[in-house]
Amino acid sequence: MGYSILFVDDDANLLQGISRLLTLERVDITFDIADSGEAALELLEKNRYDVVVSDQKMTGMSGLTLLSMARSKYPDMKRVMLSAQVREEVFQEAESLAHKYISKPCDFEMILSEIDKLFK
Amino acid sequence: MMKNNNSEKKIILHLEDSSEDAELIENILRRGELIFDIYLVSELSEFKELLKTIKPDVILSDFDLPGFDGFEALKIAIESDGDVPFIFVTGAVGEEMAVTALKSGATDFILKNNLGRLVPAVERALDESRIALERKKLYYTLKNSEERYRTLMENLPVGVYRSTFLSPGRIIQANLSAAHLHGFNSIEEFMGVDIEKLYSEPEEREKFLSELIKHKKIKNRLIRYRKISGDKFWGSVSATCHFDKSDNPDWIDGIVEDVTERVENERKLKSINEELDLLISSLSSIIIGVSVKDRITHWNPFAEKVFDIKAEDIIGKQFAESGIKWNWESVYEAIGNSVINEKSVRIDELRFEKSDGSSGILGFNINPLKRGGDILEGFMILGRDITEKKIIETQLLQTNKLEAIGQLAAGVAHEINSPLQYVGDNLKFLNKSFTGLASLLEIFAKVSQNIDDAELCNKTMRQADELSRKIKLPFLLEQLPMALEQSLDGVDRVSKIVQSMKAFSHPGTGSKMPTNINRSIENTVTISRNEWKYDCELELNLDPELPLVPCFESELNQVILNLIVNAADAVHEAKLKDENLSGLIKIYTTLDNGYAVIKVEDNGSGIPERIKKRVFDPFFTTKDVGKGTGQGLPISHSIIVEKHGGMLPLEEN
Repeated sequence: MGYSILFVDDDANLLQGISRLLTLERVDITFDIADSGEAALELLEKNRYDVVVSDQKMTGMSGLTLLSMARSKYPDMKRVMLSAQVREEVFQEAESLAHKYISKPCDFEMILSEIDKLFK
Repeated sequence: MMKNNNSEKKIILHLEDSSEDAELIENILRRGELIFDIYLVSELSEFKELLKTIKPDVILSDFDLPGFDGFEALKIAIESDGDVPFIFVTGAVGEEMAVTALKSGATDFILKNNLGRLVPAVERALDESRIALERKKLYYTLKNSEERYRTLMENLPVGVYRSTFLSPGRIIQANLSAAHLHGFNSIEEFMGVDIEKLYSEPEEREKFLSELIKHKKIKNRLIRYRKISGDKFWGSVSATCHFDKSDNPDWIDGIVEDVTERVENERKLKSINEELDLLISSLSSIIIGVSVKDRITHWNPFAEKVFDIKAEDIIGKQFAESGIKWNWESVYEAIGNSVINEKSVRIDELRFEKSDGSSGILGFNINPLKRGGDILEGFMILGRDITEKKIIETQLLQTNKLEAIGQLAAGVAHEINSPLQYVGDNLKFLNKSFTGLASLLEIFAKVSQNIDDAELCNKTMRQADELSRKIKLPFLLEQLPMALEQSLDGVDRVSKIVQSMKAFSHPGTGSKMPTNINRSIENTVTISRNEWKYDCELELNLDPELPLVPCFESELNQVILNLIVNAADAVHEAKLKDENLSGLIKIYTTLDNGYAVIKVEDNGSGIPERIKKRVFDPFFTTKDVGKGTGQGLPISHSIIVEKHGGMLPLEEN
């Protein structure tokens, strides 16, 4: 089944890596990328996404802030955090805020299977 | 020589109305051995007047005189001078009259018809008068001297007494001070008391007496006395025993002084001395006293323990030959400095060899000793064994470093995880792409093998075209170089971080090595990137001309990291107050007057004036609990100042 994803990360290389694989592997998924929380909010205004996948620690707005804004504004949208954060308090907050917390680095298939699970 | 000797010229006053009698009497007197002037008066007024101007040695008087009688004259003479002999020389009078005259104070009574008695009577009167006068003089002299002694004794600030030798003893005589000493108001009260009761322990007196019999004299004996009120005091007694003819002790003369204050002061002093001794011997510091002649005068138990040399074996010996294994050159240099500049000199780290052969570190102080404030007596060496302290300091340094590395680890993990994520993704992309590309290449290989078979080629090319579409060839061709480049870039990033981490956490060689400070800064900036990158930019202005500087590199890295983390925290704090602040950390290196200067600057919240003095205090921190231990700056300070002999000042923009 197809769905749309917004990927948010401040590392352009990471966004591009994921984009390549998605383009190659999953024609059923449409996606956009944003390199900051602020850019993500703009895209969310314009388009509707089924899932937002965000990094936590970014220059400017943090992933937690973005997800909490997304929760109040777009409560139906699934929220996934993909982060290298290891600090316990951030982890706990992310757990309550996101539908799924995935630790970086993580296999691409595993990320997608976790997202797939959200729609079953 | 006696003044009233009869050979001297005397003055005789003669009261007589008959001139023949007067002449007769004078003639009789002249016949004797007396030398004299004689004044003759016959009237009362004349007599009175004359007594004012002359002092007669003897007065002769008739009894019946014109206008007055001999009794009146006698009375006047006695009033004028009670001691002057007064002899009546008169005609017949009744026996009763003569007795009355003598009772009234006349010296003698001579009848004119018996003038043969005159000369002996006058001479005797003169003699008696002289003797009386001398006795009187003697009496006054004695009285005077006794008075003086009594006053002296009374006024003496010490108690003086004479007491019996009996039991119970009695005071025979004493001065007021003695009575006061024991709390009596008068000597009389004092004399009423049993002497035993004056002793704090009554049996003490018996002991005192038996010693006194044995030695006859006792000097400055300390005795615990009591006052009538029961209060005790310390008396210092000196006493002499007097014996009677049969050699039995008769009485005691003594002086006693209240020395309570002195005794108590001595006790206090003694106890202070004991405490001081105790303190010095229980001190876990080495104390060595050395005289100006380099002789050891003090050697405390801790010195005995540390050097395994007993005080009795070393006191009095030459300091230089004490056999202590340490750097004598620096010890004597410090001693020289201390003596010349007359002040305390410190050696911070003096290595020495302990008795068991292991090495220790002493914190060392040399103080010149001046007695009376002027004359140099020698010097006192105070040495603390700071071996443990140094070990702990090293451990603390290591702890701070581990803490820093621990803190960095999370950041480094984050820094590494992102490249790993996309390197992995890209490899996966390359892998999948390669599968499609390999199939395509196989088709092209088939074409090149059958280049002459046009039909097969055509068919195969169509297959290739189809596969190209299927594997999104244009997309692959577009993405592959980027995927490769970004992957290499990611690997490079990871490798750089790992190398920096390795360089940073290198334990160091334990000695100073020529260090590329710029590279140290770059490494530290790399591994700490995650600590600052979300809050600020970091700008490096490193002087490429900076030469290699002898450093403990590992410790230097630690200092740079502490400064960067502090700067990042300060910027973070400032950004909480002002969201629009664009944080900036600048790090400079320059060469200034032979010194390498590293400057870490931030546009964060700054250091409030009131805590400026405390930033280098251990455990002082303004950061939240769990964010900092307050050890960063003190340790950095100790690394730069103590280990490198540098400076770590605060500078304000």
